[in-house]
Amino acid sequence: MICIGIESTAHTFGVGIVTEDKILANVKESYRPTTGGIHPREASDFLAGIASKVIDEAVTKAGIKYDDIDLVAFSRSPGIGHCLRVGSVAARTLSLELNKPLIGVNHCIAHVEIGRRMTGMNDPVVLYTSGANTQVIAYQGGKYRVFAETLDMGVGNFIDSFARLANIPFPGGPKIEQMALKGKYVQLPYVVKGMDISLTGILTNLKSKLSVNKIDDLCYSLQETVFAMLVEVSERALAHCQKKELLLAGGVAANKRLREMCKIMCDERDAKFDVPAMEYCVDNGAMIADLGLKMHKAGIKTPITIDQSQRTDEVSVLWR
Amino acid sequence: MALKKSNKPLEKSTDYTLELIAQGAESKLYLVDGKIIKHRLKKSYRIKEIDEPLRKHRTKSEASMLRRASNLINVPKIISVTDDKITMEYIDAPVLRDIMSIVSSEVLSKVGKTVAKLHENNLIHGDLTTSNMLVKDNRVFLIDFGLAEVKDSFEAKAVDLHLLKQAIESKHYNEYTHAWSLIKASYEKNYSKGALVIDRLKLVETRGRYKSKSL
Repeated sequence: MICIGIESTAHTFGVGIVTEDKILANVKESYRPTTGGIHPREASDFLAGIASKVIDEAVTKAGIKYDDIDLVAFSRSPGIGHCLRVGSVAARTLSLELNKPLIGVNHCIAHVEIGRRMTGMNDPVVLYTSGANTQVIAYQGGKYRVFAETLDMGVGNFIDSFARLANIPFPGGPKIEQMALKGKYVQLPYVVKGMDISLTGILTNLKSKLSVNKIDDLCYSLQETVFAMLVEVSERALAHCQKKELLLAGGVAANKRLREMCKIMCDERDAKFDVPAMEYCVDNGAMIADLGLKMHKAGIKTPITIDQSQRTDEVSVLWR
Repeated sequence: MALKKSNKPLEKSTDYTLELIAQGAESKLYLVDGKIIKHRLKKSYRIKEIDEPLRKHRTKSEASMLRRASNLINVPKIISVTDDKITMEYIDAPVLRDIMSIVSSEVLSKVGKTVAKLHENNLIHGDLTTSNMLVKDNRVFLIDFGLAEVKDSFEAKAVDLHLLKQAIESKHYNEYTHAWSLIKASYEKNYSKGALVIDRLKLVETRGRYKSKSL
């Protein structure tokens, strides 16, 4: 069965084409603001402008014809409304044109499922950390439960916000990682509240230090502090659920120091650690197609409308 | 923090023979000479500059919460505190989790009273589960104050109660209705503002986030 998946929750328009055992294509194009963060209208205008081109590209790359497609999947939640609508309209159009079923999937769960597929992990605790989302997710009692979460902003968003304050050009993450290599520690708040983390206070603290401390030192300290917080709550989830695998997902997974810290923690408690290839960590269409296919085969039907704020644990996981 | 019974029988140190009795994400519990040592473990994924002050702060804070609580309810007595270890009295008793189905109504009421006394004094436990309660001679002892804090807030108290309710509902399905009604009644009876916290609890429960988050 061939499924085409369309991702458009934020700045990326991704199209993936997958079957049960192959990924035939995974192409994407991303909106990059010239200044500031993602402007919803500008982002969705951009996505609408390139949508049909990216879909065409994916179909060509997969070496199939449109008529070969059996199922159309799209990210229906959670995300920026303007952007979600672009993907859902594109998916509905395809579905009507090809006369094939349409299925809407949860973006966060798609990250988890593609991670399982690419790493072969069976039942991992997932540290999913991207721009908007930062959650520690594990499967229990028929659902993906959120065991730890940011109380305010996602780690990616936090890093981007700091980069903008410090005039570090886009994309901030890789540059901060580089500068951190030369930095020394300056004290920052360490904010773990039970199982949850909070980042806005750390951002404010960093802001006040910008005129006093060296930028390399701040980059180093923010990575060491925030990543330690993430690894700590991930370890708590591993202990609580008595699971033995940790999977890293989301754009922040690109960071080598975060990977190293996860690895150390897992080694110390005899757990396995893995990260899928980056193209499957960042927002991508293949993960939407993958989850759409799994849900369809489990007989799940979904609304064709979007849901900006659906939570990870609202979805019944009938395919596992 | 969920403590898991360890099968590892003995760990040798230079001074004592330590028996590892439980291990969580953050610490190990040893039984030595009839006393419990709770050791907050070094985490090598954290740099020393963060790890050491953090463990020290948490150990001191836990000890201070335990001391505060000791004036209000039954807790293990503290014997000594260092930067990363708390030595305390060993209470040789089963955890409520393991005896929930045979426990008397009196004990369940005491659970409610114990939480009421804490909350009346603005102490939030932060991890109220049946694994963190010991039952000895019909008395309830509360343990693990690692997440405890002082907070004068109905919201914090309601969330604290919510954790307990969820823990009972998910782990002790058969006893849940009976047990929770006893605990709730006793909580309201022993804390003058208990009814207000229960009201707040209803609000907390309508939030999907809390509802589905803690299993």
